Amino acid sequence: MSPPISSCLAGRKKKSLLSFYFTAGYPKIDSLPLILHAMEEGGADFVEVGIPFSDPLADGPVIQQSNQQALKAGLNLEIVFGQLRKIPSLSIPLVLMSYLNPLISYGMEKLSRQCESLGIRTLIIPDLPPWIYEKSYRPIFEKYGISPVFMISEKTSVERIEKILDLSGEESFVYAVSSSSTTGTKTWTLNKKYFSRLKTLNQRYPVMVGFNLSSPQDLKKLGQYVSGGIIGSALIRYLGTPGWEQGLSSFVQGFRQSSD
Amino acid sequence: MSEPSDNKFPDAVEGYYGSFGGAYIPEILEENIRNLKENWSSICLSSDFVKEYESLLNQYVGRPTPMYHAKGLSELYKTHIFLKREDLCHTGAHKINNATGQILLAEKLNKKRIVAETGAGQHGIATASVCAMRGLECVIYMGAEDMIRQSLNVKRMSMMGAKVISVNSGSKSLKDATNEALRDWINHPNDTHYVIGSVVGPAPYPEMVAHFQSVIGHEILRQLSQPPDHMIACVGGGSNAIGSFYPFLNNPEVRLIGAEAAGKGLKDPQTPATLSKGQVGVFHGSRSYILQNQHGQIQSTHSLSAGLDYPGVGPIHAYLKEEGLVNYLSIQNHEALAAARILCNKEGILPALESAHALAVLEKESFSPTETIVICLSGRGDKDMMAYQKHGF
Ligand SMILES: Cc1ncc(COP(=O)(O)O)c(C=O)c1O
Repeated sequence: MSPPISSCLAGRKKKSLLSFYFTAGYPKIDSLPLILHAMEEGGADFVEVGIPFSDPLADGPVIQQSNQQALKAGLNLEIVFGQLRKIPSLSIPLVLMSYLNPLISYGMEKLSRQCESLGIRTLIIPDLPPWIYEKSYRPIFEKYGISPVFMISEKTSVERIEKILDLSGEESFVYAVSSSSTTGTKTWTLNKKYFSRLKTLNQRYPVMVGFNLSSPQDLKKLGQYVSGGIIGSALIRYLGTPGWEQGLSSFVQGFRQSSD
Repeated sequence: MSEPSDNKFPDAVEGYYGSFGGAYIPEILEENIRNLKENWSSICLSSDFVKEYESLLNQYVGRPTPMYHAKGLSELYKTHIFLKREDLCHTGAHKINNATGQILLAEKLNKKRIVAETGAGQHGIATASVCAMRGLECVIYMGAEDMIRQSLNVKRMSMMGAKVISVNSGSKSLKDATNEALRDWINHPNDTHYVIGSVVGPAPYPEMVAHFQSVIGHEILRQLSQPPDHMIACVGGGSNAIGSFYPFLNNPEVRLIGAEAAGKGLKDPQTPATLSKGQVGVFHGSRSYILQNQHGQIQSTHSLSAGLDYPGVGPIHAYLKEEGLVNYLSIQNHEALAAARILCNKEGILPALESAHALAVLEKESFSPTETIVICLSGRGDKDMMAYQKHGF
């Protein structure tokens, strides 16, 4: 079981939140429990567990490669749930992130039931637009108390953001993409105009920024605008280096110190 | 060109054909897709655009393409067979009908840079050629595997000034090239238009590409004194097929046949026969049949013809299949090869391997001596010489 994300989002005004994305089944099929443990130890506020997909459209080369390696090792959603069920209790919230097709294939109702039983109440589906969610999946998600997280970018209109807030649930946040980019593809530079908008939005609703953040300095820069940042490709790159098992919690700590 | 009034197509409602289609896209593409959705039809139906497009189709592409009465084939199969000669289009396939239309549209949308995916290379060449003619920057994504299979086409694209990028992710073929083209668009949302090569992808692409390819069907209708009894076309993503079927969709007298590739056979785990073996899912931005494993991962496929080597199919075809409006058959590699040989011998025409799948239907179905059959010969076979040689030609 993991706690709901709302508990940690509630503290966002006091400290900057630190989150990580990684691909389940990478670097090894059974790495997940070890990574989660290091995340707790190193002081991550919450984590996003990525379900690998053969064709991850919004991802750059680093995450593509972790997806392929995990799939090659034989990872699937059932295995991830099995691994999570074996972890007695987690002190940090889990968010599940997956492209839509593996979820449709698993069955949305079955997925929601599994998530509920594991205390996962937040789902990010990058290729599920808000209005299709509303039309096709909202009733199922609400029945099981699952909240969707929608992404916004510098191009997302005010009206659209309002719609997204309408559809968001108790366990949602707004996922703001740092710039127009796939993950781990560009060097991030802070667009003042966009981040001022995010700052205003963050007063009303928790906003987390992700894509292309790679250093503690990046997180520091974000801190004054939004609730926190999500590190993805930089973590996955680290997980590809020898000795990561020993070093991971200090890797996380390195980011922690900059966001405090 | 299709006036809105003769457009009897089951028009996409909010980008859906029945339950198929839609636009399942990451938020970063939302603005670009919305921009297309809101503007493409008004731009493309404006009289200025229609004039310019038709003039290019005529002067540059070489349209109308001939409707050839294939007497040798007709004698062999004891019926009346006509070939719609899309292989005689400039650059050698129907793909240029769509590439020309979309690139004109991109200009109207003030885009300076064009990206496209290609499998067989035909769509890449068409796009590269039109870009050269219009002075636009052009980037083509092509699977590393396909670059070997279709090396001559890679050279041709480079000669047109296009940058051809080798795609090494996934199965290194058309689906992966499509991923990379979409990713490029995500990373260059302002100056770039993505010219998708078939009736696949998020709405409004399927509808838009079908519109540009419908010129094939409209010409067929004009060139024959009456609608044919059978209209046959190969289906990869499904653009030459839907273009050929377009004016006949509401005519129950015309039997429509789509030929998809079965590769080495329907039992082969790598068969690309999406409509025969696929399940409904979401892939490349739309809901349609896809070849996937039991965990929802997209399968890599293998067909002799690179242009049909795709684990998805246009949502329009998913709809037409479900409604029983089109009969979809699957054709194996060896059947396509045999059909190509017959066309060479009887008519002196070398078909693209893709088109050979449509020709192979002649062996599978029986036709009466009084019937008229039109086959869309979607492309010419020069690009496939290596494959033909390898298989004993
Ligand atoms: C000659 C030819 N025919 C057919 C196809 C298949 O595409 P579609 O089904 O979109 O017509 C291709 C694709 O590359 C092609 O090159």
